Amino acid sequence: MAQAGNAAAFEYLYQLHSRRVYALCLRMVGNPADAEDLMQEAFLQLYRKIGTFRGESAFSTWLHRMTVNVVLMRLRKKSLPTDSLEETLEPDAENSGPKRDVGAPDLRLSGAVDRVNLERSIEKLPPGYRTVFVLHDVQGYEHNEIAGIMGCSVGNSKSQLHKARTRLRELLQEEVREQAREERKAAKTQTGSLD
Amino acid sequence: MQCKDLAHVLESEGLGTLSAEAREHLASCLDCQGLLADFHSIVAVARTIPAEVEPPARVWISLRARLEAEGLIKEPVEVMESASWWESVRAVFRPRSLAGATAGLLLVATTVYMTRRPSSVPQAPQPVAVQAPSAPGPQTPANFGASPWAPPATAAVATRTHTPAALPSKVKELAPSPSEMASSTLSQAEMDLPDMQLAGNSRVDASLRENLKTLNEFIAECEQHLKQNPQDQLAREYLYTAYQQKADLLAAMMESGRSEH
Amino acid sequence: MQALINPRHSLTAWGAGIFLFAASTAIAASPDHQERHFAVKNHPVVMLQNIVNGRIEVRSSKNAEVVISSTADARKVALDIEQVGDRVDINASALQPSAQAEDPEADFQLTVPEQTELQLKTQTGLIYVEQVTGDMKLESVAGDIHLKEVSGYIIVKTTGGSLVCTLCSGKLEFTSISGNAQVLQPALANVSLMTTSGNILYDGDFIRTGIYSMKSGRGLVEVRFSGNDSFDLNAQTNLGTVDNQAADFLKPDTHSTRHIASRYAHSLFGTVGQGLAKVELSSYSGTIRILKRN
Repeated sequence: MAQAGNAAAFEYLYQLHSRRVYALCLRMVGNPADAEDLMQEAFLQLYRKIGTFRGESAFSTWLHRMTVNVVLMRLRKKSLPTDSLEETLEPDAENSGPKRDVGAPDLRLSGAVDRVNLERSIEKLPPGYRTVFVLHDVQGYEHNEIAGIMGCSVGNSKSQLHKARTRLRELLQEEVREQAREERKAAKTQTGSLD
Repeated sequence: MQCKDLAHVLESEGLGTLSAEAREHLASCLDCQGLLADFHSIVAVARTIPAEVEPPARVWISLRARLEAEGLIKEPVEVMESASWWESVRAVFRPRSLAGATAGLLLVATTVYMTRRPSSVPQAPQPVAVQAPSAPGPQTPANFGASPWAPPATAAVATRTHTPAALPSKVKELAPSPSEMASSTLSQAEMDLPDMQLAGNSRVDASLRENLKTLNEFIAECEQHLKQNPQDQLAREYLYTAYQQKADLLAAMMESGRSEH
Repeated sequence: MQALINPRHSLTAWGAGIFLFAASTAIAASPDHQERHFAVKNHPVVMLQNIVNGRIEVRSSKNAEVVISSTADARKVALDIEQVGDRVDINASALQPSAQAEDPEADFQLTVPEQTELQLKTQTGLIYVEQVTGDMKLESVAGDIHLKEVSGYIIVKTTGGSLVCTLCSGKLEFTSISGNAQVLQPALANVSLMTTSGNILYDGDFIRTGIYSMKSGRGLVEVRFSGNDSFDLNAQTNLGTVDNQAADFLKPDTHSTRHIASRYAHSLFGTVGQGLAKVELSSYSGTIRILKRN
């Protein structure tokens, strides 16, 4: 019925999928205004192309694929670096495994990760990593579903997720260090002012 | 195993159960312990980020206006009457939401049921005893009761017996409604299949019908068994798997009918 | 009145007409054969949705291209092939509703780079894949799926089709309603086989630290292992039987792990060798059979 242009059908589709699509756009671009624009664009494309949907994938996968394409195209237009999902880098033997800053304190994040700083860090991820991380760890898609949405291989999806998590860890550790520096600075200032 | 090998394992296998080799490396490597702990923290917090967020109402209003302007909507938007959930599914979004809706219903039903089920495991550990080959335990089928190995003389060998355990005294009454709900939802969906789909004579239709029949028979068998043995967790798992398969099959049958007719 | 048409000539004319009609019908009905080449890089993705019926055969080559050979009646089957980057999408669908018992068919032969990821879907034809090492997701309604020397993360889903997997490695997941699964000479580290009424045969080695789960609702679950294998076994069936023909090699569990047996199931727990892999066999009402290969 949606393919026949029935308004109620369109609205029903929107009600069914809009929350997930909006959440995806919001996590990808980080601000509600852009997320609203992108969501509208994604649904417009969906309704324009709905006649061509032949059931070759789950409908929601098709919609999410369209959403991700719309978002990534917008981010490319803003000239932000996008990682090609088709690149499969050979593991760098020197950089594989956990990095350890010489002389740095042991920066376990347990207890230091909260939603606010994680969301902030997610926004700093390159779009390709961000997409896979949001789809997998936030929205709960499996790798084979992400591969269908992103048009990449399952292996690439896993690789991007791992890189996303590694990069998030680095970003969060930087935040922890920065916070520690601020606290030391504040303590010094206070001690100085008491003298 | 070295740190880079563990990183490869985490990349390809995720954060699930690790192999013995990986666990061995972790036991002695603080850096990798930190890495894994941090990944777990990140994922745990990520899961608290809502996967769905309600968009502002203005988005639909603006979208609808654009759809009308482009002529994609062929009639004015009607206020959707509050209808039963199934009426909405049937009238508007037939094939796609069947699998999604039914799967969602089953997921809810399964989750509700699994959290409410009583423990099927006896509270006391199973008794262990040496099982003589010629004397199988009470619920042991004769054909595998014969155990040819001789138990060591010095220690009791942990061979399994199947002494019926007393039911825990605090067994909760199982709420039948989630299972019955799933069953009736699927039966309703089956009745809704278009007649032409059920009467189709292509190879695909014949195969789908045959498999539906197989599933229905198996479901009936499991349901009957569970009525008499509601604590049988293994049977329950098979039943819920069968429900899920039936939901997928009905969705496939509807999709097949939609693409052909 | 003289006959306007000589009967002998008319017979000849009719015969010729019938011949020509038959010939033209035969020519018109002969399927169209197409071959297309797509240049790709290292890890292409090939998605083939064969909504009509027909065979899909996939083999690998050392060339950096995807070659698609298709045979289909163009009057009955619409074929769309599209390439975006390293992804090749193939769709075959029926042009007219299939109201007859004879369904339209499209057969495909694909030649792909070894590390191609495959997502194939068909209705009733055979899917055959040989020597491809990328991840794959294969779906069929009633068609069988034969895999030979493939590796990667292999997901197979059928309604009634059966799986035969020979010399495969990596990770295998199979779900079906009535299809059987035969896994022969595998080098798989993780196996999950589930069928409601089909049978399962696993004839091969269990890799150390591997996890193997095989479940059938009503069918037979048979496992054949070798003297070099090392695994913990957990076999349970509600209404069926456990046929342990390898009792000589099955020791009590060596890990001091308490297996809590369901009071409703016939169970068998034991260990072969050092118990390095984990094997779980389950059948609701069928037979579970354990054998050692000679």
